[in-house]
Amino acid sequence: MAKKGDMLYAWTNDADIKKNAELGGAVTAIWKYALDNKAIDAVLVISKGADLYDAKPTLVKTSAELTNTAGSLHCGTLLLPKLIKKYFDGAADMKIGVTVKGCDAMAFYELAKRKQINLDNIVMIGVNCGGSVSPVLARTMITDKYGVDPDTVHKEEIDKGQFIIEYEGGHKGISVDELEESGYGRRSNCRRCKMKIPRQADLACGNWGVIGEKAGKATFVEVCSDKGAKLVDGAVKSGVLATEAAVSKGLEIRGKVEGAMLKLGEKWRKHDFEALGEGKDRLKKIMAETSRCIKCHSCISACPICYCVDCTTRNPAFVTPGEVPPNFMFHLIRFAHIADSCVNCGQCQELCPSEIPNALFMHSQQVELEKMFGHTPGVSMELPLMAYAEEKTERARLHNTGSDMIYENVFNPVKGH
Amino acid sequence: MDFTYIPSTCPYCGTGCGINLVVKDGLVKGISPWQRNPVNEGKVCIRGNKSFEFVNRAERITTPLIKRDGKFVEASWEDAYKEVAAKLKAAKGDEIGCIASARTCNEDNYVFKNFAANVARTANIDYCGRKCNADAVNGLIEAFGHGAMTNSIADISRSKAILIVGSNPLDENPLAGRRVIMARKNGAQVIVADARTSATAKIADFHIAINPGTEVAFLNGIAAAIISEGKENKDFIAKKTADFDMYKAALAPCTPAVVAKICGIAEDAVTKAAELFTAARPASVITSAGAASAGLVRACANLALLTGNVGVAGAGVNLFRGKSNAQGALDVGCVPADNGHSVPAMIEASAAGKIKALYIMGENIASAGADVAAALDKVGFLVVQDMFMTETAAKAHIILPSASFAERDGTVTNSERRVQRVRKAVDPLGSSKADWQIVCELAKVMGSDFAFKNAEEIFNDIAKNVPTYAGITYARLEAPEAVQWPAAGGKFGTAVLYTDTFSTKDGKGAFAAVEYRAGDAVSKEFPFAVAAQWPMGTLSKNTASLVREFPGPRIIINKADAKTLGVNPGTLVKVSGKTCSATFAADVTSGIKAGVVSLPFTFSAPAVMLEKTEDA
Ligand SMILES: Cc1cc2nc3c(=O)[nH]c(=O)nc-3n(C[C@H](O)[C@H](O)[C@H](O)COP(=O)(O)OP(=O)(O)OC[C@H]3O[C@@H](n4cnc5c(N)ncnc54)[C@H](O)[C@@H]3O)c2cc1C
Ligand code: SF4
Ligand code: SF4
Ligand code: SF4
Ligand code: SF4
Repeated sequence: MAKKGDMLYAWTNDADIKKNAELGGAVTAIWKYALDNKAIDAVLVISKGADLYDAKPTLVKTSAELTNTAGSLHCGTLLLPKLIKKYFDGAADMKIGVTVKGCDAMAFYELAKRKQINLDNIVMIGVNCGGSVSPVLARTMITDKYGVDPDTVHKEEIDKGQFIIEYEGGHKGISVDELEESGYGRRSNCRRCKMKIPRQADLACGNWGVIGEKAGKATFVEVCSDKGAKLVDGAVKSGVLATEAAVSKGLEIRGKVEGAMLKLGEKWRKHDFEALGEGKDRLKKIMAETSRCIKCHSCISACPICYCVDCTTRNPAFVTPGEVPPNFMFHLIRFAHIADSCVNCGQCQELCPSEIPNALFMHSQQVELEKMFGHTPGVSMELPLMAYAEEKTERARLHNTGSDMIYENVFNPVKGH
Repeated sequence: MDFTYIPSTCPYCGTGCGINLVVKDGLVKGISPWQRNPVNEGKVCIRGNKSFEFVNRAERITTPLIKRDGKFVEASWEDAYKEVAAKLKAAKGDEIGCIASARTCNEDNYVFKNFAANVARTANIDYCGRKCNADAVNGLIEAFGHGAMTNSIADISRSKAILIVGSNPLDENPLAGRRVIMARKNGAQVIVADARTSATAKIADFHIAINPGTEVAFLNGIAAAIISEGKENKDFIAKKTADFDMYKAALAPCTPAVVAKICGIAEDAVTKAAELFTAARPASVITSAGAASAGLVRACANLALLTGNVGVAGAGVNLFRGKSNAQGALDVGCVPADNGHSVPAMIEASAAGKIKALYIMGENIASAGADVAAALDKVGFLVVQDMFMTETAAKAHIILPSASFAERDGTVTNSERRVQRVRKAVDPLGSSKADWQIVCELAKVMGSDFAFKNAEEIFNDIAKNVPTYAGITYARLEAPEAVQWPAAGGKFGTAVLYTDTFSTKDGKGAFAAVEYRAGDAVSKEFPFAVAAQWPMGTLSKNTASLVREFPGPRIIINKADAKTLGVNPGTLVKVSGKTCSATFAADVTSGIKAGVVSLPFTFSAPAVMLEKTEDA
């Protein structure tokens, strides 16, 4: 019997799933079990659209349709939870299984806190995530840096610090560091991301720690909840999945890789945040960049923290309708409403037509707020700062400071952390 | 529950951004980013972001309507077709006008053109865009060979110097404007000539507030300054162009002093612009087919030839288009046949009572001004194909309801010549039908069977008959890159035209003398020059989120001028030109040159007088 905290190697016995699976096909096999046994009504996963660069959310209701959804798409930069809020009524009355990257998992918690998603109806199988690459940039990168026609590539993966492609002429890997130095590689939020193993999901699956003859053939599964343990047990019992305990050497390696990835994330944070300057300089940079905003509302539509029925940025008292670029209040409203809970998912930046590094700005404030108030978004149901704000007391407090600033220091990194 | 993403193309502007239609249980519920599309990489402007809203709008027309005693009554398709057929048959060819659409698909326009030629037997076929697109496109055809943008939207980000004249891409074609932002991030110098401190002007390195309508003088001035500094690309001119000496001679009077006076700018602004434009390569010129002055595009072409900025990525003359299929409607041939009337001529003929029957597909030409609306009233029989009760449809005798872009298959061609798919995501609302289907069915009632069973068959016919589309098939368009015509250029067609030779008869780029013609300049009577702004169209007006963001047409007026006139923000101002007048609420700003006001380009007067009426 599996239990929370178990570390397993897992692989499927289903030949069709095995063919398409990234590793052991554990993720897809467990979904098959869950669908067949009506533990869930549907799964929402990523599958190939036009080609392997085109990640497409796909709703699967019967396990027969699952095989095409196996495999990892490293150009899949999408965020699924907001779709569940928008198009599935927040899973109010439907049990949905979702394969989640770290940012997806974090977004689920933030939406659930805001009562936009019913987490009781969500089953999350997490995948470890070293980062994702925007599809058009990936194609340019493969053309320019690899000298390969991107349409001849049939597989891409990130392994041992390299971005590797398999194509008609063989395979080729270039170190992610080198790619990123020349402006390619993972999205900038992914570089800063420290949610490498999403343990707030029910299961966390990946390849780190699978060694020896199982390497590449089994999925490493960390059981993160009782729900997760039940799923594994059920899948094994139904015969679609096999497991064994992970070997200690594997555990050690996995721990090391995770540590190295976290360090790398920290390095990028330092790099990115320092480049923003401090205090007034930081504010000035943010004002200069956001002054190109064309008010497309994409950052708002995509952000998992935004959920207001009527966004304050559309209140004519704050932001003049039809004015492009909008005044800085547009962005200040977003900072004030979101910064304490930003999960650095990168949507607001990847989708910004004005090339404004929105995620960087928001993330830089989130880490400062976290230092000040100790709230870590996206890992639990703990409420954010704003949820505790008592308006009257808060106004009185502000009044007593003689300032109308709520957070004097968000543009000013807190020292000594 | 069914939930799918259907990739399609944004129905608004000529940038042609890819979008995913989110379909749930047979209804379009939203749009989602399509990161894989090379044009926009998943990014959209506010219009694209809300482009699903009008699809399900209650105001959609869902059955054919026939006007009886001044009121529309619902009718069957059969009856509607019969009546249209009878009326069209009763008119002679030259008494019939056909107006195609810059909004509908290539397939729709193609069968419509065939309908005009073979069923209505009229030479009077044109598309709405004609009024502003004709000069623009002809300029390019004569200079280079093809009537379209020389380069690709994406490669603008590789430009090192960008000159933007008669265009405000950040507002009008935002995802093309994005490439200007990217170019700037890569170190390009961006020069914007605009009387308004437009969103694009705000990101410029050098903004020159020229008087509206003086763009040609300004471009000539830059060219003359380049030549006087000896900075023209002599090698390129010698090898690849024709008529340079004639052009050079014609530029002689365009000294900085003369040009500065016409444009209302400082003399050194002209020389500085010339310097910046020639300081780095590749350099590109951006303009749009909006309300720009005649000859503007040719003057842009001259500048590109002069500096050898054609045939390489990041260079060229980049003509942005306002409507999603302005390029395609032209490509498939919706232009007047020999001796046929253009749209303005059809309107004139209508006003004179010479058009007995007018067939308009998917265009709201009545919104183009009071004179156009009045001309439509004189047409004996007006049939309009549309989704909504536009000002034009309201004047129709018969309305044939068309399906929205989400309810049909087809292709549209964006301004960079990229032919992209529009895909049927849901069934047409009510009994509405794809435009091509309506046209084919009507043709059949009138005795001509076009025998097209679906949009793909029509497209295959287009590929057979339109040389630039040869080799394009729906199968090739399945790749998100689709194909940029001419298709023979490579897997995804041709990203940059004229890398080798020009497509003119002699293979050379042709210079032309483009003379600046002073329009009806400002006078004592009409003291304010008019800079055009883009109006809200049918789709926007039926999109609640956009109506909220852009409430109604406005007059934009300089702070100092407003003060003199006693106009406050929101004051209703009566605007009078020589032939028209209207009242607009005022936007008061320092972001427009003194002496210039901005009005929706449907208000066609080059200079106006203003009277304050009341404070709102
Ligand atoms: C972008 C990305 C980066 C990754 N980086 C690492 C890493 O650095 N280290 C590591 O140990 N593991 C990483 N993984 C996880 C690993 O690739 C496998 O997904 C995981 O081990 C499960 O393998 P499997 O054979 O059991 O999965 P399969 O049975 O093949 O199922 C894979 C599941 O992932 C879903 N999926 C595919 N692409 C995406 C996407 N872009 N976003 C969300 N879901 C998606 C599929 O829909 C499917 O449900 C990454 C996965 C992704 C998607
Ligand atoms: S933000 Fe983190 S979890 Fe999300 S795709 Fe990037 S690296 Fe993966
Ligand atoms: S996505 Fe960018 S341009 Fe659009 S509203 Fe947000 S910041 Fe502005
Ligand atoms: S602000 Fe941006 S990065 Fe942060 S959660 Fe919202 S969309 Fe994601
Ligand atoms: S730029 Fe044009 S094509 Fe792109 S989303 Fe906006 S309106 Fe649509």
